[in-house]
Amino acid sequence: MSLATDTASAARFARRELRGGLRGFRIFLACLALGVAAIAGIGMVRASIQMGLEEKGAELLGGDAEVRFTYRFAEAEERAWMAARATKVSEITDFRSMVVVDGPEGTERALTQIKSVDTAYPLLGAVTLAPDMPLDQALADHGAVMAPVLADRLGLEPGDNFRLGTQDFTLSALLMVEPDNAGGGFSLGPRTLVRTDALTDSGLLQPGTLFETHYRLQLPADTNLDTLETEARARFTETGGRWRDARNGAPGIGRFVDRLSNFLILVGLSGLAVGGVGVSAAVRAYLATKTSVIATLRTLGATRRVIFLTYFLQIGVLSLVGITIGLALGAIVPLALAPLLQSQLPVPAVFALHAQPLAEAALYGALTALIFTLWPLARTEDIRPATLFRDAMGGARLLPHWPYVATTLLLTAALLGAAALFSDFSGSRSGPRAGSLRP
Amino acid sequence: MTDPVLSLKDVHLALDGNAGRVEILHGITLDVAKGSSLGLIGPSGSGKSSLLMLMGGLERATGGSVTALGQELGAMGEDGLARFRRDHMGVVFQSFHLIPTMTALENVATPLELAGHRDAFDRAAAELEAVGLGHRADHYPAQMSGGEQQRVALARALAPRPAILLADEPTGNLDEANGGAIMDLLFGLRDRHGATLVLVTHAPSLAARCDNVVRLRDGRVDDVAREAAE
Ligand SMILES: Nc1ncnc2c1ncn2[C@@H]1O[C@H](COP(=O)(O)OP(=O)(O)O)[C@@H](O)[C@H]1O
Ligand SMILES: [Mg+2]
Repeated sequence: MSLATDTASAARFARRELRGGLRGFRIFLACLALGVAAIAGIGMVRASIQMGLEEKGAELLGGDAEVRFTYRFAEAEERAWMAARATKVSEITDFRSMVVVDGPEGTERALTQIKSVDTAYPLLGAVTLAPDMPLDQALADHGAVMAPVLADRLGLEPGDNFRLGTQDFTLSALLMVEPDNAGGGFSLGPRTLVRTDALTDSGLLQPGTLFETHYRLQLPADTNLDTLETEARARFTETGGRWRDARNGAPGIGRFVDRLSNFLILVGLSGLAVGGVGVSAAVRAYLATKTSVIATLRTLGATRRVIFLTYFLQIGVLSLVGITIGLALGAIVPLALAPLLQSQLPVPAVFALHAQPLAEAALYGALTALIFTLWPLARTEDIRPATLFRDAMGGARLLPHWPYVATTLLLTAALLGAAALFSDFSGSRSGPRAGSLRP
Repeated sequence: MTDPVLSLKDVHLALDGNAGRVEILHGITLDVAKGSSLGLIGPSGSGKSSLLMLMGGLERATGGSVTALGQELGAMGEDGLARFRRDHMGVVFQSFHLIPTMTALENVATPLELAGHRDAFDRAAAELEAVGLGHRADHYPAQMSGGEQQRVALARALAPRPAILLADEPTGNLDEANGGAIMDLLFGLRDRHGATLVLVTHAPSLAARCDNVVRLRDGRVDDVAREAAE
């Protein structure tokens, strides 16, 4: 009989065998569905965050593009280069320092991440202060705003004074929302925001001190970012300027999210592997109840291929059901929890049905189902019709026939390969765009 | 016996049991002529089922040779034996062994489907009629009595028109009335289709309906009881 005829017979037998419904397969379905759901759900959240980062890239970056220098401000020609290409440029410095408060009980100090800005800041989005006031007003006359946690720690309230370096500042408000907070929740110290001019006498921005400068560019709408990036690379290679643009405004977060979700995918895969053991046990138990049916079919003239296909197709249909349930759960749960997740995530996310993570999860599920059911299925070959006449089963071999062993190994390699491939893809999604201009 | 359909020469069978290797059949030699019927009798455990399995290629001889329709069964692979049974042998068991998830009709159609017959269901329906169960075609085995199940099994075994019919105590699980009806049906259908029959039974009265009777004792042929009266 040809493979087609065998498959047709097997499909008919399989359909009849499945008339009993899914009752005996709850564990099988649960194991597979939960594993797939975990992976699909994690992938969905990751894709949502990636899309969020892409859509909000410019806002997170604080401009359409940015050139960054370490330990120095831009030179006059560099400023000229930027001014020639941008409709607007905003200069920002960023460095770590100490907030010092002289109180009645002595001197209090706390580490802070200072951002000093010009009047063009912010190019995109808006700063929210409490009490509500314009940023200009808050920063005028050595005014400063800082993150609520920092003010809390130091016992400062609006109107109180503190020092940065050798310069006195007055806290005018608390910094509630900082639109270009690309570090998200991951920056090193709580933020203090002041005017760059106000730091002139602080001694903090001297040559030899550690600070970064960021030049945010607002670009004309028709700017080709690829061309501009190439040009910037050529212009700043020698001088240590680094380029970043809105196509990936927050590569740090992107990488963090990728690493975190790769880790979670690994957790999901381990879950799937554990589920796979359950799947395998369920299939074994099911096939054990089918010994006499298999022996009968063999007696009636079914070849081993027909028998294998009969049960392979049944398990295949069940796997599809399990994977579908898993995908539905993995897609629906993140969507249902979107409002909650969005408020908890330190980064923007666009919750929608993302096809790729669902496809990935389906692939993992299918490979797992194959890997964990192939051996038990292969054992159907060892069931001889003689079992119908006597109870004792012939000596069961330790390993199935070599094609099954080889196929299982290949499938396992494919699963690990897919995991590696997808993690790598996600990594490189943010990788190359975090373009350092250094070669 | 000029044209043996089944021919066993010095057949030995040893099986690995829990208590080591057990010799079950010790050098059986016998021929079954085309169209004849052979009754296999003997006490329980004497090796009747084992011998029948060897004839059906369901078990492999550990010595000697089993030839069916001129083909040496020992030379065939497992799938080759399955195809050989599909094309040439019908088997009836003591405990019916219908497939529980299939209707009576589907059970009878199964060997025809395996052989790739497009008209499997039409033929199966006719076979069910022939055993008087046309009206039970859509019933599952669990919905039928033992006697009815065995009639379905008989229809299934004979549907592909096998040259050889092997039956292992087909009435062993039935009461006398049902058993008698099955036997009448079995011999009637066999006569109509002209299959060669090997019937295992421990009822001498049933064996007496066969052309030849072989008695087994401890895995050996005890005596050849008689030639057919006709
Ligand atoms: N799998 C097995 N392993 C070892 N011995 C077996 C096995 N199956 C059956 N036997 C033994 O083989 C002998 C013949 O059994 P069987 O052919 O079933 O006899 P019968 O059908 O005449 O009752 C018995 O002694 C039985 O105990
Ligand atoms: Mg027996």
